[in-house]
Amino acid sequence: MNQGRHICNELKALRRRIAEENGIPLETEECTYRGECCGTCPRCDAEVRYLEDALSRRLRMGKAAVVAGVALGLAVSTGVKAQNVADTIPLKPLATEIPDTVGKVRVTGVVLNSKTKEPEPFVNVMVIKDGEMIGGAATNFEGEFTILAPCKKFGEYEIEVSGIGFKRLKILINIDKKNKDNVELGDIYLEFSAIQLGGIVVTKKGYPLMDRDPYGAKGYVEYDGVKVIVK
Amino acid sequence: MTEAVPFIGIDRHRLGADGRGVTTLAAFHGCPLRCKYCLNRRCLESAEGLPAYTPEQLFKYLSIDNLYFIATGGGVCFGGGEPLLHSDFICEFKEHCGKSWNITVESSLNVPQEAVKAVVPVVGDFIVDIKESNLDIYRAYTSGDGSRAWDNLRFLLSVVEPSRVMVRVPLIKDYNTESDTAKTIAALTEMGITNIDSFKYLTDR
Repeated sequence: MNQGRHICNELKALRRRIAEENGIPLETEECTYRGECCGTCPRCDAEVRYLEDALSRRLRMGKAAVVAGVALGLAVSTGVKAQNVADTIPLKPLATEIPDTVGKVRVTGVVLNSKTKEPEPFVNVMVIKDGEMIGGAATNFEGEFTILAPCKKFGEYEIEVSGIGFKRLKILINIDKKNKDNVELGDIYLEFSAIQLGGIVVTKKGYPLMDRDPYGAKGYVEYDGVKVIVK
Repeated sequence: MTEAVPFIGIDRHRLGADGRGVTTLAAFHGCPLRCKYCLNRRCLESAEGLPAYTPEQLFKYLSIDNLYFIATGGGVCFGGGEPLLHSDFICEFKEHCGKSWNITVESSLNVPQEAVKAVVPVVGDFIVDIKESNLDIYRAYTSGDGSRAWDNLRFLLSVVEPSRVMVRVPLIKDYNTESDTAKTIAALTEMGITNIDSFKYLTDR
C-alpha cells in the first residue's frame, strides 16, 4: 500500500470516529482509486466540510461537539523525519490580494451565546464602512475571531455579527490614532432570534409531508459537486 | 502587519512526522546556512516564482485541515529553509489560529537570539537540527558558525521545558563519525536534553 493510501485510510478512520462521537450520520465508502494517492482528494475534503457543518449545527442546538482529543492516539509520533517538500502538491497562487492601504487595523473578539455563555463557532463577523464590507472572518471553535481590516481613514466603522438562529448584532466603533493598530471588542453576546408564529389548530393526524432529517432527505449532501453519503 | 513571504512548499496530512497528531508542514524560503546535503535546496535559490502568503492568507489556506488538527492535537510545523528568519510571521500566524492548533518549529537555531525569544510564547514544540558539537565540522558542513546555534539552544532550555525540545543529531557522510555524534549526544544530555533523535543524513540525491 503506498504512503498516500495509508494516510487516506488513517484520515478516513478519523472522520468516522468524529462522526460516531457526535452522532453524525456519515458513510465513508471504500476508495476505488488505484493510482498513486497523495492522501486526500475532493471527496475526502468534502467529508471534512460536511462534518464541520454538522458540528456547528450541533452547537447551535445546544449540544456538545466532541472533537478535541478524539483521536490523540492516532498519528502517534514514529520519530522525527527529515523534512522533504520535494513531493508536495504544487502550490497554486492565491487569488485574493490585499490592496495597499494606509494601514490595517486588527479587530478581535470572542462571540458567545447569551443564554449558555458558551463560545459560538462559525459566526460571521464583518467590518463595514459606508455600507461596504472591508474585512470579515468566521469564529473558530473557541468563538474567537481576528480580522485585519484595511481602514483607509479614521472615523466610525460598523461591526456586524451574524449567525444562523441569532439576532443580527451591530456594534459601532471609532478608529482613531489611539486604537488604529488594534481594536479589542472582548466578549460579544448573541441572542437567539425568536420568531413568533401565529396559532394553528390540529384537526387531523396524517403522515409528515417531508423528511425532517437535517442531513439530507436524499441520503447525501453536496459540496462543490462532490457527494458526501450520509445514509 | 507582516507582509507576504515566499514558501517553497506546503505538505498536508503528515502523520506523526513533526511530533504529535496530524500536521501540515509549511516550508519557508531562505536559510542562513549552506548545508552540503540540504534536502530542500529550493530554499537557497531565487524566490522568484514561489507563492507568497501573509499569515492570514496562510491560516485560511491551512484551515481546511482544522478538524484533523483539533482532533489529534496536531497543527502546523514551520520549517524550510530557516523558519526563525520569519519569527514575526509565526507570531502573527498564531494570533489567527489561536490555542487550538499546536505550532512546531523545525530550526537550526542559527539565527539572532531575538528571533528565538520572539517565538517562545507561541511555539509548542521545537525540533532542533543542531548538526554537530564540533564547531570545525559544523562550519565545514554548513559554512556557518555553530556557536550561535548552541548558545541559542542553551537559551531555549533556560526558558522552556526540555520536553518541548527535540534535538536531531545526524550522522553526516564524509563530515562526521559515530564517535563525533556520540560526543554531541553526550553534550546534549549534559545540557538537560531528554529527546534526542539520532539518524543518518540522506546523501544520494
